Amino acid sequence: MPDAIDISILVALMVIVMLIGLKGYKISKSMNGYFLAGRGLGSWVLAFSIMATYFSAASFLGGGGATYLFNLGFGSWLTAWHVIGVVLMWVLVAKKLFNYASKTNIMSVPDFIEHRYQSKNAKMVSAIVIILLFTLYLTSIYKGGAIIIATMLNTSFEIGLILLAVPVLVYVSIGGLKAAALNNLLLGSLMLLASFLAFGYIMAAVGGPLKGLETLQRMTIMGKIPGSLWLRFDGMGPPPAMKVGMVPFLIMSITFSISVAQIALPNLLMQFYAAKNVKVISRGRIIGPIAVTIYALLVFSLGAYCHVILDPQLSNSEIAFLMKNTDWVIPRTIIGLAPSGLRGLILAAPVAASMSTLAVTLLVLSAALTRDVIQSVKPKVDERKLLILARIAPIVFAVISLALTLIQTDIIVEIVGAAFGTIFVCFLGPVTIGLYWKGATKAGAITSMISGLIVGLFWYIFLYKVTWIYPVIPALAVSLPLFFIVSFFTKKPPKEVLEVLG
Amino acid sequence: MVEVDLMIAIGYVIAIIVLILGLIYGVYKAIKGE
Repeated sequence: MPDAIDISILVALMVIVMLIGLKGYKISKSMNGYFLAGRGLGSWVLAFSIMATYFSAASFLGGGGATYLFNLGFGSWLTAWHVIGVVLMWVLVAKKLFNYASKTNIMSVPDFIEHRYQSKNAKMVSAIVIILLFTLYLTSIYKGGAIIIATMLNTSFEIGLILLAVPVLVYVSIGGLKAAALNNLLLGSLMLLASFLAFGYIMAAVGGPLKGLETLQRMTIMGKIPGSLWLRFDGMGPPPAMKVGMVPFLIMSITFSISVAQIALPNLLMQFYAAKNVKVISRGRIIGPIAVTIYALLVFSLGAYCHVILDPQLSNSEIAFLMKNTDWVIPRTIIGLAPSGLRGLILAAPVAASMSTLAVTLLVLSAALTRDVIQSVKPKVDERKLLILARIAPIVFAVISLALTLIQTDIIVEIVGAAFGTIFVCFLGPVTIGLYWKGATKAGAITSMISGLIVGLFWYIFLYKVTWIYPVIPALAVSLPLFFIVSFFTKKPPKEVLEVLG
Repeated sequence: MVEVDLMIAIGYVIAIIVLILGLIYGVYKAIKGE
């Protein structure tokens, strides 16, 4: 179990992030400074901040442990789609969005939608989608980090939640994006270091990647499942999906949906506005993909190897429990392998991942409420008052999502599961494609967002566990054609707006 | 001898190839100052 040294590392991390938060105070005295760090982020800070925002605790716990249940195809395709997503984001979206933001002085993604489509209604719809889905998404971000804090400090899940949320709220409210991005550089570096350490300890324990697979291939899991099923793409997966032969489709639809989402998530895209200049984007195009690829290669395939390490020490019922709760696989393995201190560093990674995602997502929610909703309804509101509200808004959203995390009913659990993918579906057409396709119209954008929201949530709640096709695929299949068809038949924005697109 | 499905190996290969292509493009654009 974690000891005093491990616990001090975690506590030190919480104190350091709050102190770094103070660094952002000076610059965050205007809306531009608070939400966009005065548009002064450098390439390392920007690239690591975007990576750390994207990778929540789920990337370390869920992504790392997933192949304890799924075959290795899950790890390989999760890695492939992540690399494709991050390269597309930096090559196709980053510079285009940065240029647009520089020419128009926009501050948020709904701001972009308002300017691009010349429509306050489209802006409102996008702000409401962000507020609804990101508030729900926050509940899943809390979980992973809070579980690790509670385990390490030997306290309750509720205390773990509060200990995770408070430092983030302190530095976000004080220092805005500047504090969040600086912290994300630290937290992202910690995540990369932890991924090296976790990979190193697990590979050393199994005798290297190939030796580990050879051992797994010869094993029989729980006395009945051949280990060779982990080396077949149509092999191991959730039993109901195996029964109907849908494991490959399930793997492809999940890994695609959660990885390529990078190209359209507002909490990532908004950070491109904050780049100091175009050279930052240029260097970020190199740093960002390398960081994401290293992390994905090191972490996403570890779960399968954990069978070789853990199973000889576990009863069949304990293995069955871990296969149902794969988030526990990596922490359980690391606790048994790594020495005091390094163990604390590795276990602090999911906490760091939760903090970094939480911070920027709270800022995006704050911007959606203050800048996009309140300032749109009351354009003459004093900026100082708005800024105070912008600092309070993260606390309000944090409290709402904390309450949702604690009172989880079945329906909340279902909607939270659908939130992340649905955000991607709602913004892919209006933002990412809208950056390139001048024919996109406000009617097309609104239709695409609303249809994506409805189909994404409906499919997840009612059809996902019947069809075993992840909801992003059907939601995209409906919202994207509607985006093109409706845009084709409706009025285009004025020429001068389209000229900004270049 | 480890026998891994081709579809599993392809995922890792695609990841490396896409990263290399992305980096070549990134470095080329950086040299051009874009």
